[in-house]
Amino acid sequence: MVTDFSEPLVLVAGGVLLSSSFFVIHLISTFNPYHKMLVPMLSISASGLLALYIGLVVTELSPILVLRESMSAAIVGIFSLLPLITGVVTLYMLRITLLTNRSVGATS
Amino acid sequence: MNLVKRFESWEYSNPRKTHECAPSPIIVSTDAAIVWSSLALITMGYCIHRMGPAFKRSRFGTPLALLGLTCLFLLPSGMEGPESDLHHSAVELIIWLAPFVLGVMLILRAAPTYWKSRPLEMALGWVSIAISWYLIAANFDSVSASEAILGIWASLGLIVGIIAFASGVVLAERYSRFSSESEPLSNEEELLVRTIIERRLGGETGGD
Repeated sequence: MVTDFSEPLVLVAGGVLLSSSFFVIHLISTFNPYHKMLVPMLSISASGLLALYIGLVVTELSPILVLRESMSAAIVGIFSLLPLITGVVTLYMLRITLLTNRSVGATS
Repeated sequence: MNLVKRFESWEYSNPRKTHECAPSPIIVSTDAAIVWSSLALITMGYCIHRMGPAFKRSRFGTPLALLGLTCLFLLPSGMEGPESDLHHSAVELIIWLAPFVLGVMLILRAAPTYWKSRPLEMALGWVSIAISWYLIAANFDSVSASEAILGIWASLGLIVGIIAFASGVVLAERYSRFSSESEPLSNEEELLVRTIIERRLGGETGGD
């Protein structure tokens, strides 16, 4: 039996590409004179390029298609994990509702 | 179907009469461009909003993010390619996420932790959360379970990206040099700081 690792590899690559693009947008849109953005930009660009290379090797498609498809698949996967996070948040809401029965002042 | 095989099927999903008419893989359809631009706008809006009131541009954060959300849900029509799955799952997500977020906000406002307890708002919040859980359960099937497993791999990739970014930030902070000495406070700034400290140390009475 041969285990196929192509699917997980593409998804991991998609996740790395997703976080890299998020941080690239973050660094550009929040630019200010005190921002030391060169080294973080280099590190995320390197990780993004490595992920793109992995996607290219695994899928043998064009770079644009690899970008679109792996990032789409990663976003869909993360969306489908959100109900779990929703469950944790619901438990916290339950705790806030049931266990907190006294007002907490600013000085207490 | 395996994800990689599905990718290959997307590439050839639009057969043309001749090879001369075959689209270049670099060309992205208008709908796909709208989806990615909207996601970029949402991200940009969120990041600018998080800069805080010290930066004037932070006031544009929320409108930018709302513009991105509107474009993402209203503009694309008849999507094809990998973005169709993404758009479909985003629409499904917003259907249950919107009532959930509303419910959480109501419960946090109504909780007695920092404010006076408001039972009606609390009840409305729980109704809203119950509706969102009903919608999650109604749409949950075996496909959702397998997609959630795929999501674990994508999250692993996200964590790797965050580690790369964090290590870049740590390196930048560790090897940054002392640039210049700050200017001393002006008279107005001195007065402001003195007033704040006096208030905090109890020099002012009558406040509640």
